Amino acid sequence: MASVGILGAGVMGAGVAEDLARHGFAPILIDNAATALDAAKTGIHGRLRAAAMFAKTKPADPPDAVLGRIRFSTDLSDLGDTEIVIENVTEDIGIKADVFAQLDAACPPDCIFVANTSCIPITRLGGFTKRPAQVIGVHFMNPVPMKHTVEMIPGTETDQRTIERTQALLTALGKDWVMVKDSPGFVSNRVLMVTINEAVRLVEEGVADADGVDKIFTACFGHAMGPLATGDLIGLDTIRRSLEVLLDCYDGDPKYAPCDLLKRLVDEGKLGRKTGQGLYTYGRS
Amino acid sequence: MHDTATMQDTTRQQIRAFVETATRDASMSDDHNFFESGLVNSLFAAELVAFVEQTFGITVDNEDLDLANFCSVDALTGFVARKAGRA
Repeated sequence: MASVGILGAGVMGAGVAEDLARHGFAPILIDNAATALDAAKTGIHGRLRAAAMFAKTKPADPPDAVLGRIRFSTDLSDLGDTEIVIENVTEDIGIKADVFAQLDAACPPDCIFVANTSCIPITRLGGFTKRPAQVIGVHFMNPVPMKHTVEMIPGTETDQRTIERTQALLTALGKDWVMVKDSPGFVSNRVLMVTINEAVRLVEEGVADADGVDKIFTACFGHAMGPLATGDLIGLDTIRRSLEVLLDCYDGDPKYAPCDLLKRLVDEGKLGRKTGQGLYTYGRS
Repeated sequence: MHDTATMQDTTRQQIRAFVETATRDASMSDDHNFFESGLVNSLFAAELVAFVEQTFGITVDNEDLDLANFCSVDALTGFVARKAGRA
């Protein structure tokens, strides 16, 4: 099995680590903040226990054993033996630029970099390294272990071998993919981020409340979740950052400008499900 | 001094408040199976396990991870009482 490193222990990085461990991999999860690693560990343990509760047959490995496969570290030099690194740091071009340069220095020459970015073009990320042929985008969906299809985005310089190695990893995780060309926001977030922003704007204008907006999508269109519940699940900070990346990449096109209510909720720390409050309130003790 | 029935009532109220907030449904009965009705998903299950551990100071062991213990306000109240009684 490939040795896999994961950079960034937020919602997505923790989800990727959990999914790898559930499929028998022994990944290493890196974050510069020990508190983020602690939160990821607690979150993964909780989700593994919930998964055990829903399992039709008791899983072969108890939650503690699956969690035990993941190594947690704050030291980037622990990636010295990895074959594949999946990057999940904050959606900010400056931060990603630093991180990709650091990865390039820390990882073996043959290692490939999988960018799990929401919106930033993969070709641009590849340009922050000396190995652009080995940089590819995979847009995992949240919650990672429960979402079996991803968006795969080769950059303009990504080589065939990198594509094949990425596909082999995804196959081992039981995932299917849709290949799309490199473009800011790709397909998923070019549409979704604008949709969520507009849904928040409807609440802001008082056209409907959050339940009402979401019910149009769930009950009328048959979507599994409405755009506001989806925004809360992704994290409203990520929605705002993604819109700002799109705004920048599309030369200030105002259709990507985050609406006032979205900005206010983020400023107030109401980031959605992960903080217990966003467009909706979630159960917290 | 609290008798057992009063303590169970308090436990039930705390559980009910948590579930009502998460499901945004104040009208469900205490025996309503909220997993079966699709009101909540597995993300809620993770929050629920953490909630009972933190609120009632019990440890949910691997063998307790059964939907039968967590699927309704009644089931949760009974589960907490059994775990607390054993401690």
